[in-house]
Amino acid sequence: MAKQEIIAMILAGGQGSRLGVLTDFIAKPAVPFGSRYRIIDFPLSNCMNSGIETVGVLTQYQPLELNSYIGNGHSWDLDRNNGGTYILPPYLSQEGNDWYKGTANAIYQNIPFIDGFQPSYVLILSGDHIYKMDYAAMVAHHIEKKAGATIAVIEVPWSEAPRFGIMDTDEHDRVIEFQEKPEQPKNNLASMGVYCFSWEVLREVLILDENDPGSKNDFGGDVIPGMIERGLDVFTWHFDGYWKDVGTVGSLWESNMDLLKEPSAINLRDRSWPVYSKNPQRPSHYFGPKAVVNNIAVTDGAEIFGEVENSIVGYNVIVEEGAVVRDSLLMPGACVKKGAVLTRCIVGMNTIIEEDVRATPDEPGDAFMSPLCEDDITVIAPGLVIRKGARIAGNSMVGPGHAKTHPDRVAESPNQVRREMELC
Amino acid sequence: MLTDAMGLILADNRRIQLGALNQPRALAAVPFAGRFRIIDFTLSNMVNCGIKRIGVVALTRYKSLMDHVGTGSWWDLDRMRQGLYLIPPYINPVTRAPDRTDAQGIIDYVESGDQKYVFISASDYVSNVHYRPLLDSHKASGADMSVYYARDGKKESALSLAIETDEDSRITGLMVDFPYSASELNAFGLLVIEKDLLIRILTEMMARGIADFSILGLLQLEGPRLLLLDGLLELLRRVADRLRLLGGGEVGADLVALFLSLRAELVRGLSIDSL
Repeated sequence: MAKQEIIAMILAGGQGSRLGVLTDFIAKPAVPFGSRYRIIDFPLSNCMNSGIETVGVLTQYQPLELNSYIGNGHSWDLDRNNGGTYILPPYLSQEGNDWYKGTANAIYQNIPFIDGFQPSYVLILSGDHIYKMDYAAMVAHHIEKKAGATIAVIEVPWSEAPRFGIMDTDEHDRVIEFQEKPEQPKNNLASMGVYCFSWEVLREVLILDENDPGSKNDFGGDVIPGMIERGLDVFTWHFDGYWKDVGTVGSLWESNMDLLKEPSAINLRDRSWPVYSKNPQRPSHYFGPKAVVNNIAVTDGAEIFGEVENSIVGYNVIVEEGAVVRDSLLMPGACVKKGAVLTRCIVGMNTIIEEDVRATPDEPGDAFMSPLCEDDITVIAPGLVIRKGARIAGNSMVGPGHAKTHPDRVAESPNQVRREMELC
Repeated sequence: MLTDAMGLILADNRRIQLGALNQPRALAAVPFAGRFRIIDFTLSNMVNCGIKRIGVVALTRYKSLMDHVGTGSWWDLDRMRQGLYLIPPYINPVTRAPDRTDAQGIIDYVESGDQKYVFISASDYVSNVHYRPLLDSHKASGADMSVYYARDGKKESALSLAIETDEDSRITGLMVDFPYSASELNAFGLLVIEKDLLIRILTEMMARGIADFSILGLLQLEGPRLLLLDGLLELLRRVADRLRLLGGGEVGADLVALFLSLRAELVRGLSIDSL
């Protein structure tokens, strides 16, 4: 393998359990976003736009869809002769490697992969954030500061600081203390989960961490605090663009809605920083003669005959005449039949909402409601059929399990494969 | 990584005749050492330095060249953004310049790039130059243009573009194939220049109807015809005044490229050969 100055490692193996049924069968980075994207499009495109063309994608939880989505990396121009994308699942070896125990252990297990490129710098990225960032600028800052590690931080309102990992810094951006979800935050600089390391330093730190039986082998929890404690050169780099962790139902819905409410914030139309994605070759989207659409994002193959407002509509979605969809995300292949009414719903891929279903916040609550849902947002899993006339309240999370407990309202899609994407 | 530079390869040189070898093909497409073509070296040098946007200018005999470079995939230049740009001659509807004198394709290529610097390379040498030091010194020196050279200017067999310099490494004179040259510095065909300045020079050349951008073409401009060049000379003199020359070390330049021409007192001019 040819030497690469910088390589990126994207942590894409987490379950994303707070997204509930949306990640039952796919890894969180493969969750559809903003009509024609998946979450992982953002770090992948950032890498390409930053000139980083060697990208390891660490997978573990439900990787099938993610693997087939990334493919050979062509959609992000990452099918390179030297470098490109590498899917890195855990593997067995003589030393008895095992599942990735934590984010740091995942990188530790891939030390031979990284060594193969003899990089000077390694970026550690998350596969579950929506943002556009010039990693090259961050690496330049890292070099300028002669840092061992640089952590991208974003200013958050003081009131929200207790929700984040907070970096307390001196006037030279040097991190003096890391506070994980502090009740009494000393600063309002939240770690974005984007790290730049000098490989020599990281390599050593990872081995130390691996040999520490008390460590949970996590970057945020163990490696970074350990480095600060030992007085290594850890600096922050300030980012001030749009950034959202879409790890919860609420934040995923909100971030999608941001595209409609304030498209300039992330600005997907910026030609100098394109966000690439992979979509099937389908005919143009089509609005029927009686369709009423207002403030929606829509993409190839979608057909709308009913009423859709303030919503994100993925490819191959069908909304039949007489159906009403508001403030919702219809993921690719979803079908909303005649007379159905959806408000504040996230409908998973290829799920069929049959005639006259009502999934709105004004329906009375029942066993479908879930603590993972908030603000009256309802999640309907991929690959389901919501039966004709069913009523679903706000804050519900409807999953395949309900096909057994509530067969009157929920069924599994006859074709299980329909749960997955249909990329040509 | 040279993310702030683009490449421009001049694929032919009409001064160099290799008989049957380059009769049917541009010089850059001439086979070399069994499995290469000459252009492979420059393309690889550029790509290895991190340059991802490379234009190849081919005015004639370009079929062989185009067959060889294809989509650019061998050099990882098959990209959605940037990558390889083939720039064959075309007639510009606005300028309607005579055949082979239309640099608009090159101007368009250079103009549409985001990079600030352009590495221009001839295709008649084989080397493994790293461009990073050249660009670093170029930036540090404040020169308008920096030129790589080899120290083989006095080698008898070599075609040479001997450059004379003052103590500040500023180019003061230039001689083509002059066997008695006092200078052993041989510009073999690689320079770096800022994008905006290159566009200005090319535009001015076109505007003045300089039909032949090659060095000989320029040098042959004598007598009253020189007057035509006044404005151009003014611009180029300013370029020349701040021109710096940088050392190139050991570079195997069997075939010498000529594309930069500054004739000391008579014509302080710049020429891009084979345009």
